Amino acid sequence: MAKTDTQTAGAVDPVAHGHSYFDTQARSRDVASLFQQHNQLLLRFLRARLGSEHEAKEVAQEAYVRLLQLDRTGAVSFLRAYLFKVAMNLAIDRLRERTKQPLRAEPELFEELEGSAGPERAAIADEELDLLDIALNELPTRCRHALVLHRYHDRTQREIAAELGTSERTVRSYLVQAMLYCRLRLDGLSAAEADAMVRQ
Amino acid sequence: MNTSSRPRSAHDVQRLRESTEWLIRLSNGAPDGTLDDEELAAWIRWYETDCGNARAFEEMQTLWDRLGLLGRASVNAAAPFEREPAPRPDAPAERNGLRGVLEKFLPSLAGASGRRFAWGSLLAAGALGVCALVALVMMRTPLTLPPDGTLGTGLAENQEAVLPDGSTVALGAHSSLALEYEPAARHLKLTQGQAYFNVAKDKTRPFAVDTGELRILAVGTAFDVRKNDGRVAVTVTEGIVDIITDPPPLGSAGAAPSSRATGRSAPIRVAAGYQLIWDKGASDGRKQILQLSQVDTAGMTAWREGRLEYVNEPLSVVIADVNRYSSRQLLVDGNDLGSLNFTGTILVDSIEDWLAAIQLSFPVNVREGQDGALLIRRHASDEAPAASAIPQPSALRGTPLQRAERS
Repeated sequence: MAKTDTQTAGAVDPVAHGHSYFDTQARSRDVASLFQQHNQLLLRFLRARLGSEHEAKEVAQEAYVRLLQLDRTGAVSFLRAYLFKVAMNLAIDRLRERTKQPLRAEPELFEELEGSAGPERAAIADEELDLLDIALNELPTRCRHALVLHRYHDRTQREIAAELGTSERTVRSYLVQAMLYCRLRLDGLSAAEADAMVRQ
Repeated sequence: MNTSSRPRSAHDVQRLRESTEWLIRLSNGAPDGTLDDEELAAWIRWYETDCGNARAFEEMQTLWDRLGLLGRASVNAAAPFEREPAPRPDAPAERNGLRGVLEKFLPSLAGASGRRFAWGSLLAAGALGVCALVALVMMRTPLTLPPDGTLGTGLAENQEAVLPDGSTVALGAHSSLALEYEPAARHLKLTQGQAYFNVAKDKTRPFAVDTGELRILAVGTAFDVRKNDGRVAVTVTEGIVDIITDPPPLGSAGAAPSSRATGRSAPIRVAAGYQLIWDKGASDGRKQILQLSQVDTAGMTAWREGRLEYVNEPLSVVIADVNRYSSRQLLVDGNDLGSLNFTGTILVDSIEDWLAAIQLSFPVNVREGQDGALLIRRHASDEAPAASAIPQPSALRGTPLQRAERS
């Protein structure tokens, strides 16, 4: 009873509705459900990868399009893995482009947002950026150096390690410390408090 | 995400540290910064298992983005780390840091209106980022139920909630769960549908889920309960639960297994990895069935990701489950599917595929009935399936039924 192997792919006979119409529909549904369930996760991932929300969205969109064109169906778990794989490859392509073409600012994004934030919000953000600015400057030189190379120059941890003459492991620890320190300073901790917590 | 003081515990800081480590692993810079599938999967697991992890990650990512805003335009202007470090905590208004550098090296930005415009925009972008994050966190945080609330879900809608004691529940579609919390006991009633519980440990307050037919008692554990008409399946994914059959009303004798005193049978202990099925038995005189078996618990709880998985489950029960997710109601025509059992996976967003598939693997056909309902009818096994309202074999490529042997 309950045999699941009564059908084989070979026995399937293209009749009536034809493959393409139905498959396209099923695929759209799958992609729609993937989008609902995993889009936030995918965007988080791509933002981490690309360091830009704007680009993350573009790449995610492209990945969904690729998925829609994929010529086979499968379980949702398979599709999710595939989605991330495609997205990762697209992100890698982007980063390669970036090394050829220097990073440009994103004026269109800013224009879009211009005027949509009230003075109050701008004031909060202003204060926060000032504080972040200060926190960055309080970092030990090597720590800051590692963060700047990584964040603004898209250098890999290996490259930074070579430049600083240290191990990748140490570079990672510099980066974690630097980020954590900034976060805690933004929380309102004093330089000394934040420093103590980071060292814990 | 403002600058007011916000105390963080050592635990919180540890979480932030972990988040940062992940963030840095994911963002390993240039094109050759590789990330393998396993690492990605590990991150997703870490991110999804704990709402606190996700929040901490989002927080660090916002900071990461903010750093990008701060330094973006200076990327080609100067390497900021080459400057003299100028820690001036007392003079935040002075543009000494990256922004100072930025304005110095990028005269286009520092032009009279240009500077204002660019900075206003950057700040606006930052502020919106904050708002977006707040909205996201709020959406992601499941509702906390009041101690005497009822949580219900509609058709094809799964929901998650945090219970007042910190336990969490994932409720399947078209399900209903009532809470009757007391100081000394956590009582819940699953009146229909399916729910997966992750129970917060509290030895002084037993956690009891009642389906009418069964009572499941847990201390700190995770389990799934599926209630259909005349059949209840309990799958334990973590820890141990005790199950009482034919329980007395909740609250009367508390949740404690006082069954011996009332002459009822002793509780059945079910450990992680096992499933207990209670079946009232068919009307043909079979007796009530209790069956304990080892199962793939991941499969049994895959409904939370939109996959209904079954092993040897009566087709009628499967159809009742599918009905909780289907926009078109499935009706069994003739009520004679009793002996047919289904093993396989149904994707809740491709129920039509499944309907097409069962017509090939079972002696049933599916036809359009009244009001858009679909009638499932058994025919003699040697009879060819009749013409159907459901897509025929062409639609079957890659349906879940075939997935198993194709891979």
